[in-house]
Amino acid sequence: MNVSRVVSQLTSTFTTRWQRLSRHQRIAFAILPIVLLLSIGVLLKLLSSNGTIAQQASPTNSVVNNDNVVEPESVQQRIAEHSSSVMTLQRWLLSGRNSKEEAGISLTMLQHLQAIAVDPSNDLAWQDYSDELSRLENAVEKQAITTPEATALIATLRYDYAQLRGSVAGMVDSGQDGGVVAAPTITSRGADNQALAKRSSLTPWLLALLPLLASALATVAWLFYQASQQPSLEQPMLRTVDSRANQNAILQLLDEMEPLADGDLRVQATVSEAMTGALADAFNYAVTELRWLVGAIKGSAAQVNESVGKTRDSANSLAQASGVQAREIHRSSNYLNVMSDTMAQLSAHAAESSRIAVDSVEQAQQGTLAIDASVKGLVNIREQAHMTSRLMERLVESSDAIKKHANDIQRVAKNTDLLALNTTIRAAAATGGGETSELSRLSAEVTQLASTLRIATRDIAHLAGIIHQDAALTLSSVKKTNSELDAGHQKAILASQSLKAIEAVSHDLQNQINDIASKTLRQAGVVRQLSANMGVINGITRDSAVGLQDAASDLEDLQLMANALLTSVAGFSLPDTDNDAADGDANDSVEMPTSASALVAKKIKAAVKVDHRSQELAGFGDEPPTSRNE
Amino acid sequence: MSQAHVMFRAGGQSFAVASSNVQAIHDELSLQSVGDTKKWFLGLAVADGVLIPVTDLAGYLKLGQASGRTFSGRTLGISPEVGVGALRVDEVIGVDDTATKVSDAVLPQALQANSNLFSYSLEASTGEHWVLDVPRLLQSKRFIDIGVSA
Repeated sequence: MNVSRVVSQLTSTFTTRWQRLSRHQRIAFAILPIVLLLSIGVLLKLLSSNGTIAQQASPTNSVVNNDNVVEPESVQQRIAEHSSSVMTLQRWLLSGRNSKEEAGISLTMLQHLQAIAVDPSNDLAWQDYSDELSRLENAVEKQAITTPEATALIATLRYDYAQLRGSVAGMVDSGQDGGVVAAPTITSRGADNQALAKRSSLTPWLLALLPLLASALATVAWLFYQASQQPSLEQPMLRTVDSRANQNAILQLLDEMEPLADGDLRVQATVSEAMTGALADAFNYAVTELRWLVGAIKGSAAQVNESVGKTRDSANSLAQASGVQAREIHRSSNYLNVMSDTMAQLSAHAAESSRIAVDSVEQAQQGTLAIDASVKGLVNIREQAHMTSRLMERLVESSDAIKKHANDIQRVAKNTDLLALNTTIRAAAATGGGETSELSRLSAEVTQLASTLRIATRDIAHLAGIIHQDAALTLSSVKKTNSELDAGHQKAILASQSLKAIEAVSHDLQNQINDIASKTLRQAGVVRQLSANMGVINGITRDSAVGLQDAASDLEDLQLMANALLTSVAGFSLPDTDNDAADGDANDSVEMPTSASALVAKKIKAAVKVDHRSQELAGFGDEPPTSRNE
Repeated sequence: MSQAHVMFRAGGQSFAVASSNVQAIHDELSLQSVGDTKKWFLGLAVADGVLIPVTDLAGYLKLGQASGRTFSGRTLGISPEVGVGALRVDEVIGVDDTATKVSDAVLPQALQANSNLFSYSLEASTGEHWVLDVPRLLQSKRFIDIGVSA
């Protein structure tokens, strides 16, 4: 009730005082508060806009930005689209004649994608999918896949994979599993900080303008109070020349201020000796500041728009380059793994060769011993053969002697036979009558004996001849055997020397193979370490690519905000530069936005640089510098 | 008892001479050739201190080519009571007094030219042997005339 009474009293008082005013005063006091209130509203809106940006860019606030969220349904949809691309690739590979194995790889990729669709935070599935994709890239590298469409689709899959993985990684990092995903990252915060830096520079001016407008509003209220204290303008007795002049001045001031309600900042109130001179001067000052402020906002927004566009393009290019770099690094890492495996196999082969060399040394030693034994045996055989040769020579000599004696015996038998014949003839002659005597019978027996002896000696001589011939052949054979034994002995000695040389060479070979095996093993370890380092670099590059994508997205948002800012101040009309060339304030209004925009662009570049550096350091596990958020 | 005969071979034919016509059988006599003599006259030799002419019987009987005559055979020394001379034969088989005389035997073709020297043959264990009439041989003009001009 008290409130309604107070309101009723205030209304009555205002009505009473309002009726005391003249028509022009009523118009002035109706327009001026509205204009001032509109100005205050615009300022408050600008302040509110800066405050919103500051709130978004504040490091203490959440990184969630409702304009850049990734809905889970969107992630699922992108995974489905990715799966559709992989299925297309699989159909192409199945239709190819030499790409059945690669079609199997794409089928495995689809299985991994199903696992990813069920649980996007499954890093193992993501890693397996990336490995299978790398196998396809290796197949492209080895010309197993040659069609340009499949090659381009594989490259597109890698790019989509990087973006999709980055989005899901951001979702997981923000801890919003299955909820709203915050896309902004460190890069976006850096860009917002730059916007904040630019817009925060405007805030002091806005705050300074507010008291001025409030003072003007208070002045209008005071004038309204003073005017209402005076008698009404309709009272003819109170009409004086001064009041008429003041009325005219106020009306002129109101006429001059009227375009400001439409946002025309080209207005200029006339400063005179009248009572509205001070008010006009204050109004001109406020309009000048507002003009400068709107000009600065337009110029800065345009500069920001242009700089952000360029930076966004650069970020997109860097993101694409990082994707390509990550793929090449991954491929190089695969090659290093293959090289490491190959070197490990070489080491194993070298170890096996070393074992074979050891066996070769042992075999050579055993061969040397065997040949030495053979040499001794050959020496014994040669001595036995020499003895046999000597015995054969003696046998030949003996057979010759037997043959000689047989000839003597044969000659004796022949003489005996002849003697017996002559004896018989003498005996026959002695008997005269032709009858045989005892002598003739004895002669006949001697003749028979001689004949037998002759036959026996002939057989002995024949046998002796055979023995002599066989002994001669045997002797020749033994001599030939001796010569061959000598040659074999020499060859055996040479073989023994060769085996000893082989043993020495095998021993040296074993040492060298052992050296090769150990060095190869060490090199395989180095290559493995190099591959691991490449993996770390690959992770850093992938993170950089994702970060650059996010930065490009944030820069696009920043550009939208700059455009929105331009739109918000588009309603204000500024004077032409040529017309304001003589005015010192106009020059300031041209220079200040340029300086401010340059400052903003410089800060944006510095922020992007600091962001790159912080991501590289973060990839190695170092703590980011404290100046990152500054 | 039949007469003993010395059985021998010469020029591929088997002959026999009465043992009484033979003084001795010589082996490896040292011959001394004589020029301008018939081929069947082998030369002169000393046997038991006596110089005797040696004749190749097969050559004389013109059996040389058929028998393949050589100088390695033995020499039958003719008994001085029959004459001076010696006959070179290929082989002396022995003395046989058991051979049977065959009167109607046919003289081989090779001996037909000298059929006057053979009148009968002896059938012995070693075959048929034609008996050479040594005295007629030594007294024949052709046997004595050993010169080439003759």
